[in-house]
Amino acid sequence: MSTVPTDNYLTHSRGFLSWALTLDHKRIGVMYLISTLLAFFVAGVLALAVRTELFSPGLTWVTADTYNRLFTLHGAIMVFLFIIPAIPGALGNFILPIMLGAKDVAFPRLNLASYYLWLIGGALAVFSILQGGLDTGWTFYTPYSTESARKGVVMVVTGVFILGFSSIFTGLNFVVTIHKLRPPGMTWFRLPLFLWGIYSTALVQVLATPVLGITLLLLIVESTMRIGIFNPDMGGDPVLFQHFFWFYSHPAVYIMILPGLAIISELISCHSRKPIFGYKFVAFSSVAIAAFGFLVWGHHMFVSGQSTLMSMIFSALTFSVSIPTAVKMFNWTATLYRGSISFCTPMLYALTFLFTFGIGGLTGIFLGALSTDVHLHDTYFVVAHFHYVMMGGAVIAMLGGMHHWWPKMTGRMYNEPLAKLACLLVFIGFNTTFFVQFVMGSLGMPRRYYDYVPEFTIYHQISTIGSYILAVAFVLMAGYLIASLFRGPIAPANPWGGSTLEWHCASPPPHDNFAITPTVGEPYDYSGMAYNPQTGGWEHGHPGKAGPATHGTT
Amino acid sequence: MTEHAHETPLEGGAQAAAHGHEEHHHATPMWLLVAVIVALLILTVVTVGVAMATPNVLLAMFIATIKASLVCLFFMHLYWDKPFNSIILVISIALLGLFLWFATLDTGQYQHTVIPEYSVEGMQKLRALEGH
Repeated sequence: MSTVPTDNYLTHSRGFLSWALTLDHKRIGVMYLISTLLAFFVAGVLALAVRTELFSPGLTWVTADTYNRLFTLHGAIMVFLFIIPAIPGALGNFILPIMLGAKDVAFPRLNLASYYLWLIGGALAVFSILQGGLDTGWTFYTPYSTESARKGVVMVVTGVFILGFSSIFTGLNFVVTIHKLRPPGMTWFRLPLFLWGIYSTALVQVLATPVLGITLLLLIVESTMRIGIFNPDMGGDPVLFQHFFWFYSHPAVYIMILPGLAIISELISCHSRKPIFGYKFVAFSSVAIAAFGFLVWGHHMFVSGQSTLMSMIFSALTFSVSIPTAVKMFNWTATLYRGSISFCTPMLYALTFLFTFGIGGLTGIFLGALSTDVHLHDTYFVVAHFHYVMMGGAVIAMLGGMHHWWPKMTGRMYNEPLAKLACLLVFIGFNTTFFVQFVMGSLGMPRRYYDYVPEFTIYHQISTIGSYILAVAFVLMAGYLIASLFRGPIAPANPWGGSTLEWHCASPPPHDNFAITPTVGEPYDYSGMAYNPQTGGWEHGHPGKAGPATHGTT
Repeated sequence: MTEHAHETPLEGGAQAAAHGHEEHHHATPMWLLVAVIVALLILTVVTVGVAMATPNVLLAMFIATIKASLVCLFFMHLYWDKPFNSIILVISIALLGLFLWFATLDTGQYQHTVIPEYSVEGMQKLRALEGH
């Protein structure tokens, strides 16, 4: 049985300030993880509140105004405080430098600043929504958002503006880190695919987020100075707002999903014990998704008053994104073929992802096609598609990544049977909640409506019951993960037989990650690894290929 | 503690040395800085002069682009930086161009479908009528 290394990043220094002022990417990653999971919890509770209200037509337990605020808060917190920052901020911060073989990110102070900007922006946005009762939805569409300025739009938008800076700081840091801090031997085509995904995400963060800043600034200018930009009553153009908003927010969808895709590449390769099939295609497909993501924003605007010509152009361009996405899906499936598959919890999440993200992606074709979108727009079909991509994709991938790297982050193993049970409940709960929404959406149930005709009752009730199953799964997950911190078995350095560099250092990693800058070989070379029953982990048979699993002190 | 412990990551000797490139801090000569600022001032005067003679947005944008290029190349050191930095700048500008192109193309396409009664002037007339 292994023992916890005495000097690791958790024990290197102690006290509140050692965390609050830390420049260690691992600690910042842990702080991001805790904070974003708290945001996920709050937004999840709000989702349950929304689903409970929709259990029956008419008033179930909250008024229509409260309902509008609940779903606005749910959407805004989930998007801006959880999905966008969670994987890059938490897992990216923790894993990226170690996987790269570096001691830290390129700009540790900027990294800490990004976390505090996230805190400030998040607090400002949430308190403003609570105080002002914002009910515009997370998209802040004009002219409604400028008309309801008194309801706190300006403060909320300022909060989101600050969150955008946090995102840019993180992205910039990762781009520079990957360019400048690669160790000897780590060529571009030896980068683990997680890093390709995070790199592509970071490029989008740096290039697209400023547009959100400009958009929100214009919204503030219009609201406070009454200068007509988007409001037609003042000579503005509301369609222009949607162009601005979606020019950022569609690439932002890829900020949300690309890190998830990156995690899945790691999980499938590691737990199939096979190099990823078509490495270069999978790597370049991340960059291609990021690039194509900039060309398709108008597919959110098919019924906004956007011209027919532009709608046709955007509809055609939208299909381009499906090509690199399909490259990934097919290559993952090919990787599984004849692999030595281990059905451990992270792999179960990866397999769940293939199923749910597959449905999410394929239903996107209905919405990308101009003619069908006109029928399905603003129905529950869109809600279901969005959640299959964001929750069935990004969140499931994050859960898989969290379970994969939990032993590395905490130095403890979690209860595997309970984790598998939770994964099964997530799968059942998720599909029960959202699959039925495709049906009611195609039957014409509009989204965001407080009330509905009795014909839709059964669909809403099934969906609400599914959300309760999801809640049980997440409570169970929180329970065994927290319990593992206190009573979990000590994790070995490499519990899964991973080949990338983070599995070469101890669990939890030492303060400096690597005492000696490692020399690296192929990222997915599983040959020469042997399971050691005494430690419960895998050991590398190529000491010349990577630095020793040291504890950082010499 | 390792000898690298107090270095910032970018100073990590092994990594920088491994790539065979050290950090260059290029000092721009004073005469060049002065020349650029003089050029910027002259171009500003030219912009004003052209605007007074024949107001032309395209011409003004052309001069402004030259000025912005001078700032990026010499004040922001792109001239001496690695091409990657210039590539990022060009991609950013290309994306901005794409956005403006598509947004204006769209506006031009749907403008004729806007119902005049719902325009600002139309609404003002309606309100005036309601007032009476």
